[in-house]
Amino acid sequence: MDSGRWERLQALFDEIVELTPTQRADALARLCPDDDVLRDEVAAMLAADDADPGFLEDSVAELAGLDGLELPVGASVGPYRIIRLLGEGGMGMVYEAERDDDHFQRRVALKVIKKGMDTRRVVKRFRAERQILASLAHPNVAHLFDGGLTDDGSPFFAMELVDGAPIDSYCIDNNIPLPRRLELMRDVCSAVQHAHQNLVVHRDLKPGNVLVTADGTVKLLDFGIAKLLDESGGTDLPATVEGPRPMTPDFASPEQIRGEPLTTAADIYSLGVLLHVLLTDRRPYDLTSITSHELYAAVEALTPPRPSDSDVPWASRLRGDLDVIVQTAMHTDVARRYRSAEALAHDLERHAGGHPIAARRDSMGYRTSKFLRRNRVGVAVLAGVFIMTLAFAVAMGRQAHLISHQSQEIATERDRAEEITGLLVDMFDISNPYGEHEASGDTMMVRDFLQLSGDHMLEELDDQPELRATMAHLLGHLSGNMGQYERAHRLTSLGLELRRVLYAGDHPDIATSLDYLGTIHQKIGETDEAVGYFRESLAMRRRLYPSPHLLLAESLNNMSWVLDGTGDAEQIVGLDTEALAMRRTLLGDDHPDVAQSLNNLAVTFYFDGDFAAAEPMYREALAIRRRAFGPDHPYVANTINNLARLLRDTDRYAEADTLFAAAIDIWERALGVDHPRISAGHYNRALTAEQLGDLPRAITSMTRALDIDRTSLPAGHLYIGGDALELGRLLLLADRAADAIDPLREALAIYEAQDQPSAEDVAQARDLLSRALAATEEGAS
Amino acid sequence: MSRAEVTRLLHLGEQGDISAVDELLPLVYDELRALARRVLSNEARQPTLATVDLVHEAYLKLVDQTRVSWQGRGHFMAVAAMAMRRIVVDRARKRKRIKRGGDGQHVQFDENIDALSEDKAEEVILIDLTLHRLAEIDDRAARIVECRYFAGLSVEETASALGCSPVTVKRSWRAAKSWLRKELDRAS
Repeated sequence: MDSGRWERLQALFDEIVELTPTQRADALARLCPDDDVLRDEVAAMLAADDADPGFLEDSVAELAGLDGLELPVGASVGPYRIIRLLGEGGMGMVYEAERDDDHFQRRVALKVIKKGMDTRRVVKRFRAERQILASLAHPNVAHLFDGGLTDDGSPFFAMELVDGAPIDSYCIDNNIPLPRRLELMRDVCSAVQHAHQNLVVHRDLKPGNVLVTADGTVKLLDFGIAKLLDESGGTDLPATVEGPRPMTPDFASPEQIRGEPLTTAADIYSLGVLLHVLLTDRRPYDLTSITSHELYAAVEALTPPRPSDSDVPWASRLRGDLDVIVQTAMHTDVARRYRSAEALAHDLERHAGGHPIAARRDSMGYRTSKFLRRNRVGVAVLAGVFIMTLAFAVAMGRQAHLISHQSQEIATERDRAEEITGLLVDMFDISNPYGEHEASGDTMMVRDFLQLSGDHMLEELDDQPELRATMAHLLGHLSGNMGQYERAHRLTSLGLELRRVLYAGDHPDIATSLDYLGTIHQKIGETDEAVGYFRESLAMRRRLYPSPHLLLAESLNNMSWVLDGTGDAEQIVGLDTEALAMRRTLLGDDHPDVAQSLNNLAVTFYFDGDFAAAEPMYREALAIRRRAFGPDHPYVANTINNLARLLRDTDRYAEADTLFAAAIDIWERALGVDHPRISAGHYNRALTAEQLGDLPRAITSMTRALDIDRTSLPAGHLYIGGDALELGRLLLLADRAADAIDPLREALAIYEAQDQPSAEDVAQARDLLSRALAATEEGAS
Repeated sequence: MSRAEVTRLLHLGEQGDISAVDELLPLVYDELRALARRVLSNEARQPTLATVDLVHEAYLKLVDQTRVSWQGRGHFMAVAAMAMRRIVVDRARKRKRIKRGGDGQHVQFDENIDALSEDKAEEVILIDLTLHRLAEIDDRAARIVECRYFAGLSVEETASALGCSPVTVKRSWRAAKSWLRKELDRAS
């Protein structure tokens, strides 16, 4: 037989094998009227398929003498009888089984550990799953009935048999409408919330583990790799699982891919991916084709795609809220994700009811657009304003170019258009953590516009290289400010390329392109590249501006920014001092940029131990910032905090205490009382209060720091250990030895679990703990 | 044998270097045999490890996963399936020789040889021969059988090993099985 004939044979077989026996004969005669031999072959294959459907289905394991793995039908496991094999997981086999005693009949999913795979690690994980399931009772979590040992000693457990389909295929196959999909998602959130409340992180949420039964009930399965959050309670589980991490990259959070300790936030991320899948019928990323090496790098730079960019019929209904909900859940920055599955569910509920969602609570633009959307005009207006501004800039620029420099007036118009664009660039700057730049409705529209029209506009300017370069740079800057670094890099590089061709040698625009490329690289953590661009830009600006110039000062500032942390304090001080002098000369003494330089310099001096040099600089920066931003701006709080630390380190506790309190007060009002930034304030204030002899207040402050770090940092984080140790020490000082024991135990456990435990930390924690224990025994006896 | 070496060969193979596969196969074969031997000798009474577990374990042991893509993993599985087929068929041949009082040399791996019945050994050898014929008409179908039957890979794993879609695997698998069954029936 040749391969052409085989293809025909296979095609015929394919077509006919699904038919009923009576249909088959007809179809065979109809589809293959001319070839008796082929017809006989197909008939023989069909007969073989009928006669022996299980042929080759049991892999050769058994034949290799490696059998004994699978329990045969009818075998007894505890009170259960095996009916059939349902599936096979990494560590166990799952069977459908039946419990058949006098009282009731119940079908269960029976999970039995694989022999040969029963290494200690696997048995631990298996037991852990059992323990986890036992602690969960929720209508959307598959229920655990009982467990025990098989005759040959393998652990097994019986759980609710879920007859359902993975949630994604359930939605596709049954054409589930969008509102119902959102309801299903809320059920999933509710189950996950329940798990989290019981200190369980699922860690492998994906459609295969979230089934929907025929009556539409969501069931969460497979806590196989779940981890108990409560380290002390989860005795069966190692804090870190050695060996390969089982996970599904498309659904795994960046921190999970990086192999970092996981908190409930990892599940929130996976819920975001799952929601994306339900909204769009597809996964946000396809990470299966890249190496894990690339994966590590990629997760840093990912911006979650927006569901509304997909091509589902209801894509337009996803724009706005649902985009934001998915992107909030999938935020690469753990601190910016939903705090809980419940919060995610609430936003889905608010969206369903047409109420503003919490993820966009802080954005004025959002509230406005929410209002406008009810009137169905806001979207067009906001996008229109932006498009017109850009088009204006381009048109004016083009005109100016045509007439060249004949008309001063038109050149001025052009400058103004560029200025307006520049303002927009700043308006959408999301890099400022204190601004109101949550992915708001208007930002989204601008992003839409950029993607649709930006490239087109650049193409149109093909014959205008100078203007093309300007627009590429501005669009690049705008993209960068909206966090689209890849696009920003592409456009800025294009601008640089065009400018290098346009201008031989040094040119201010080339320096600007270089400077912004440096900024992009710095933002995505490519420090070496950033240093290269900043250095080139700085050198060029030095040649271009022999006397003090603000752009030169900016280059100096950027250079010191990128070198910060390299330990080269002398060079950094040099750069900052030069920038400061320039800014003072050009801007006067009372400008925020002067304060920035002062603050940078002071930080460097402070870490160098030169408190005398740092203090006046902090005080001057603080005065300038108070005047420039108002007394309640977070920038002001940052400087207050820096100054307070210096005062504490130089034993001026009373003033330090007042200042810490002031910084905390500003932060709490600007960022919310639980913001992670604030824990350092409480920590510092506690140590200051101790010095002032106010132990009760020290204890309150330290408890507060510990609480915040516990909720915002991954379990086992060194900061949590530090908070706990200090709290224990303070309690001991306050003669509350019994209360000190728990935090000291926690601190010790965290210190000991570090990759490279600090002997000093561990020794200190041990010493304090033994003192606390001794004190309690004395008290008792 | 170094992980770096296997990983390097895997990269070359991914880029279409056929000789890399030739070098890789014996390495994987040896590892799989060693693993099987270890399992069988440790648990002589109850050898309980499926071929697919051996393949997965060999992968973890031989490959630096931080440096290999998911396609590379698939590629490894395809090579491992080839190796597993050789191991199983070699074993079946040996089983027949022992029965005939032939040259069954005593190695640990064979202590458990009784687990393989003579009929089954015969069938494995026949399947292997028929599979060679199938490979001449439809190489991919033969590879699919190799992955599914000899290595015990799932449909999805097979698809990723051979770089085709799960649908193709399912389709081709069913046709190839029926054809093999038919050919075996005709031979007997």
